[in-house]
Amino acid sequence: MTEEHAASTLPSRRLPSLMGRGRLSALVGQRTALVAGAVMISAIVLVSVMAPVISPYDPVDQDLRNALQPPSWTHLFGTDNFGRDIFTRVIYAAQVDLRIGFLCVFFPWVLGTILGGIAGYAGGVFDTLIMRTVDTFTAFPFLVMAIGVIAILGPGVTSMYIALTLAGWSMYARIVRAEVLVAKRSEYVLAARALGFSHTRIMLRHVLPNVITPTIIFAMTDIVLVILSTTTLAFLGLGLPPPAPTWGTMIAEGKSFIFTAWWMVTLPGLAIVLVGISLSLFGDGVADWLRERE
Amino acid sequence: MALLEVRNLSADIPTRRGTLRAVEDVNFSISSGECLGIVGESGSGKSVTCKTILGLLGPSVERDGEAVFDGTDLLSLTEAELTRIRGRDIAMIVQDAVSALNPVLRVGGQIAEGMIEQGVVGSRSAAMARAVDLMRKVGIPSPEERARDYPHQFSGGMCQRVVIATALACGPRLLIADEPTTALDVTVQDQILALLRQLQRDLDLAVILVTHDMGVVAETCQRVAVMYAGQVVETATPAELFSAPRHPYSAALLDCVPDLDAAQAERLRPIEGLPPDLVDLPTGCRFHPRCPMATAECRSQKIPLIDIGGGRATRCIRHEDMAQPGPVSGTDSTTAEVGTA
Repeated sequence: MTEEHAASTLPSRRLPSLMGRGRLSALVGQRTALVAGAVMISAIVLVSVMAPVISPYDPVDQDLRNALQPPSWTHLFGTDNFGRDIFTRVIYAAQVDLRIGFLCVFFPWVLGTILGGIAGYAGGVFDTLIMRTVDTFTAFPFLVMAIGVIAILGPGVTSMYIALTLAGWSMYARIVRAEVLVAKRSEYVLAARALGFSHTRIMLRHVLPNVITPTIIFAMTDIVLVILSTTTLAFLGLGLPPPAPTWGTMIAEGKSFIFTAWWMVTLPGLAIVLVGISLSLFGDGVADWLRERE
Repeated sequence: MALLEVRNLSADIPTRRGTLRAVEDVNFSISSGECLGIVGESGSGKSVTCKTILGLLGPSVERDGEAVFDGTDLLSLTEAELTRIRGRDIAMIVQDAVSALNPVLRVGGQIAEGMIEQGVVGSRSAAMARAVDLMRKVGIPSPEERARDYPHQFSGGMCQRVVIATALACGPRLLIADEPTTALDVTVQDQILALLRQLQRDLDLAVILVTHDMGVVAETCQRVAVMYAGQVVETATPAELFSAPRHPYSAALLDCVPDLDAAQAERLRPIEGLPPDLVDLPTGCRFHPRCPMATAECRSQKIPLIDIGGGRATRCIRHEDMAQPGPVSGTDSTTAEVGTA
């Protein structure tokens, strides 16, 4: 009787929670996700940094006699239409793509946190000014803004940083402002004021540590999206100018050869998938850990 | 000489419906080593009075009157000057101790922070050492270890002890305790009040104790001010107030307190009606719509705080009638006789 009862209720109680969360960490467990993600990211970073040692080839030197070679033991991922080793280009590209991905989350995070914090804490005119700007930036289509910025500044790493920072900061400002509004009315802020603390001290030492966690959780998911955005921009020809290897430009270059040399598109694409999975695992793990601490 | 003298203090809070007279014409004084209780129901302006004195209300709040602390009028000071006084000369304990502590900082650091900010100690390690001393003084067991804990690892009563330690860190001369025991259960409440009394004696502290609990007042305070609708309606010693209140509101408030010594269980008498809307106040005496003794004069004329001798004052023109033994007649005399009961 009890066994029957248990059998009938257990799956129905377990399944929704597992499917409802719809995240990788729910499938593999929080600690496992964090460790697996961290190991995978470390491995990717290590391989990309060690690229000159690992690969005997140069990522930009052309070797037209060996163009469009399929994957083999000499060329693990094959070669492209200029005879460049794709494996070498993929691991060199990881340096660029990961750095852009990280910094294009870091800059908006800093900018959004500062502006959102000021809007929430100071209120009044500052709040109105900053939040109407946030609305404008949120409403602006991402690609139109990115294309605009890159068209004005010209393609390159700097314009990529600027474009993605302009596109991303408004979400962080929103999150931080909402959290600051709550924290500002808390008893501990009143108590801090009654103890004669300055506004700067209250803002930096009492409010900020209490509002920062949700932004880090958001940043963890944002970093995957940002890496995908950079590859999208590169695919559209707005990435780094050739011959610098990035995954997006490699896919863009390979698309004309998709029926004759499938490896040119597929293998850089798989690299993006792998980075996406490891960052998701790591991000979910960190987010769960932070939530638990709260 | 009084340490803090509040004269004609008022605070107007602008709201969408109009100006809210949260505090009007409040007068009281307090000397070192004295404990003044401020009692009244919710919304009577107790907390607003305290926050007005410390300038903790927003800039939109219009303040008037004087709050002379040790020769300086606090209301005339700039925010920067007030910041030097808050915590250092006047400290405040807010109602909910658990949420008054920052959840992400260790309690030892929170106690030490005020001393560093106000520059009363030389170094961080000196501040931490003093924080541990303070924790011992307010009765937290094994303070060396507990200083490294976070607020959520403390019970409500222990949190209140930490908050008191934080308030005392810079050696203030006046402590404003805004309902310090409301969020605690009765046994813990007793311990915290005992602690406050002991600290007050040891440190020759002036304490303003805001509460709505008459029992707390009787136990702790040397003098009490009763507030109603933003005004002080009566000041007296607790003994005088309990035995012979000279304002019908004080009398009615005491009627709401159960009396264990009564020979026969009496029904508690709630005060008829509701406190007035502070945006649209009644003319004349603010208590007249609920007062059993109200006369035509009470309805039309603003009542000042009347000094009735012996350090007592009341805001009732019929206070002499209340001092008479026997029932007093007004339009309705149900609660008046309690004054002499």
